[in-house]
Amino acid sequence: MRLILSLGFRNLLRQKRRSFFLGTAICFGMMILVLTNSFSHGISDTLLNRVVVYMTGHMSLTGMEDGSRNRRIIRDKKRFMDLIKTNVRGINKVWEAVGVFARVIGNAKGDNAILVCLEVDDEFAEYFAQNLVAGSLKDFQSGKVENPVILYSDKAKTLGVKLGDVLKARMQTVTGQRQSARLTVVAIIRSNNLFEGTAMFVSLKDIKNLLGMKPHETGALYVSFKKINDPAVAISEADRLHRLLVPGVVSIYGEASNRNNAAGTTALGFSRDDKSMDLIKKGLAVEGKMPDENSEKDVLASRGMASALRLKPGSAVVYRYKNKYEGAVTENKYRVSGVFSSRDIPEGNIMLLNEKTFFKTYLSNLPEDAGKHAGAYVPKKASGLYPAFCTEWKLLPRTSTNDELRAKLAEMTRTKWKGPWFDVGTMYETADFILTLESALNLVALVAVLILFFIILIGVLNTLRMTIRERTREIGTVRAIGMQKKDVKRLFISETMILTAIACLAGILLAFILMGVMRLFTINTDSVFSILLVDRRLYFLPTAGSIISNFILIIIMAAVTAYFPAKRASNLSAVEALRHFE
Amino acid sequence: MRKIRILAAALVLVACVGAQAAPKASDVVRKMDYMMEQIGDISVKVSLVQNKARQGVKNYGFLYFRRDKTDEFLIVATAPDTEKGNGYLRVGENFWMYRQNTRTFQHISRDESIMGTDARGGDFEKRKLGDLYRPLANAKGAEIIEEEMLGKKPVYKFTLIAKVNDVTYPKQVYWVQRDKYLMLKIQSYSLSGTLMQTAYYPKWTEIDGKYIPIEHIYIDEFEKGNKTIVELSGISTKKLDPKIFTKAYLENLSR
Repeated sequence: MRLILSLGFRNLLRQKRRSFFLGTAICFGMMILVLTNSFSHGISDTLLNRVVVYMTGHMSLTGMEDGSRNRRIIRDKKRFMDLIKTNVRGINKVWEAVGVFARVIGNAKGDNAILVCLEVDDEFAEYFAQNLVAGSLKDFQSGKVENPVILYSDKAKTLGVKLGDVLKARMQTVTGQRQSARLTVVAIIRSNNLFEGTAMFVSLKDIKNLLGMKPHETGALYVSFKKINDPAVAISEADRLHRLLVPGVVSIYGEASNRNNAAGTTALGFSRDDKSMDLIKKGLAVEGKMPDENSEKDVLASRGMASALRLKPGSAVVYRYKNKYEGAVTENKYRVSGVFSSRDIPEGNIMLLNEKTFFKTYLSNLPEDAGKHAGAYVPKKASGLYPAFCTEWKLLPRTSTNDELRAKLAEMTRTKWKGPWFDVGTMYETADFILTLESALNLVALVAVLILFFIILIGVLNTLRMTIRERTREIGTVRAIGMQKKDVKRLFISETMILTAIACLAGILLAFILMGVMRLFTINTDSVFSILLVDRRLYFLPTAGSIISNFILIIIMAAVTAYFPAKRASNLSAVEALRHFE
Repeated sequence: MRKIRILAAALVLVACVGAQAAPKASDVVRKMDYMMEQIGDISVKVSLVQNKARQGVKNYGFLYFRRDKTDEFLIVATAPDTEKGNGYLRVGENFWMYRQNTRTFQHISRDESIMGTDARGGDFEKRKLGDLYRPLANAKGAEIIEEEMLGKKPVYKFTLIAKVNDVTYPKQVYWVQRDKYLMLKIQSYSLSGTLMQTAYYPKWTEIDGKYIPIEHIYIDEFEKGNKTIVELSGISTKKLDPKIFTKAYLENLSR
């Protein structure tokens, strides 16, 4: 084989000019293929890892209330942050994501913007330093400036503001109330692409304050992974987190009182869906009335609670419980609409609230863990009424595409559940259109280059036929001195493969040189074209995988193309070949 | 006998003074809620002119049907052409958006904007003012209510503070016509206390003994130059056919 390769290489050198022109064509094709692939990878890398990852994280845990995707809130931030940090592998960073669409009024005019929370870390400080136009991070972090904001130069220009100016912003709180704020411009930075321009950075503390969030609450938790180019990592970890988020029945333990009587009491919520209501109706014997669906005051008291507090239907009851955070105590006034007894609930002081009443207090004022209190009743799964009790949250199913994601959110909006919803997502479903775009770009590039190669390979075929014709006597000679048929075939195929391999390697090298040259030029544009740029330069991301696979593909194509003429050459009879004369 | 006369005169005087004194703000709110409750069913043509600074004027037209008893309403757009036939239907807690071009219904939440205007689904819900707001009280706990003139009309002025956290404006100042309890002006404030919007209700009409504001003017105090004028016409408070509040009716109306 070594001899064959050596002969093949020597033959290529013998026909320098022909090899050079043919090699140049293949080299050009390979260069285009590497360039287009690197460019499309660059686009998806920009969108996924520089834009989408900051917008959605590689993976996200989102809490939503009132069946609305716009009411994003996680009440117990620490609990879920700990859960993620303990169980999700390969985490680079977990951060709170709080953002809001706002109408911002500057000196010149108003514009829409997204206020994004910012906790300054080394990564941002480096980014800030690279893109700073005016201002400093010190003012942002000092706490002395009213709602400091960092904005991009394009937005500053649109709004007609400069460093130190005050912007007015209008937004909605997390519960839908109108909010307004004065934002002080402390820094202006240069945007690197079209998407960045709409964002304005406000400190996490300020934005939570403006949106009516408490310190222990947050909008969503975003996770970035150390290995960011592999969608499978994020998807498998998201599936893992999803499996861990099984909600339990939620109960509150506090003190119920009626005039001079008080007793430790567990409050439970019951769901209003048809199945749960059937269970409740079958499982409870109620003296009086069930709480009205829309009532926020009516409760059911257990027989034990009614006798301890001397309650009857119509009695007023005050319920107090300690909050999990801020050391506060929540006090609610209810009216007993009925007294219940049940075989499925043990004797004790238990109060049942409908879903709406229960979550109204539970979500606004998270209680301490009821399980810590000896007297608390925490329903067991064996209880016949267990499925009817309100759970801590409902978990949306995992989805893999943006269409499925939209469908499940629409389904969430359709339900009447008053409690929180949780969703675990990855950017590969929230931004699956980017992956589709990349695949489409790669496919278009591949098809275009394959057409190019088809033309080139017709050239290869033609050249090979000419070579065989010119070297017929040579074939006869080598066959006469003992070269086997298969070796003749191998010789011609190896010649083509050597030429293709050398040309492809040259094409790869040329592509890298060209990418380097193109990266030297700065492109100043604010058009949609800017999404293709990083640091205002064209961005290419060559990947070893795609280069090697394309290289192998082209070598195989060349070998297949060379096979038939080579076979024809090998089948020539030595005598016939020696007799050949032109 | 003389003492009795003096006592009687004093009682008459107290009664007169009492008759002149301003009512409690919560009573005024109750009266306003009562008047709204009386409307019950209503069908009306709505014309909405939205004037946005630097963006020009946009005209919208809607047909609006409401039935309080069953907490239902239906809105269908008649203008502009791009929105024509699109609609919204609310039945109890179900709220759908209908898109005429795709002939599809989609469940939406109360936060969604109605046809790109500033109005949201939640704004059309049947909720009593008294359940959402409480009057602002002074340091002694007494509700603050003032009597003043708004133009030539004598009005009660009072401030309402939100009792719940899902209302659009956490604070509103009302100017309510004294004799008929008609709201004439409302100033709405953001959570941070900034004046965001002033609404005027200059024209009211009486239909079947029920008062309905037929012109609303909303001035955007946050972004100067934005103004929305809403005019109602073709008002009917006759009982509406329950069939109106169905998907089929909305689809038919959209054709």
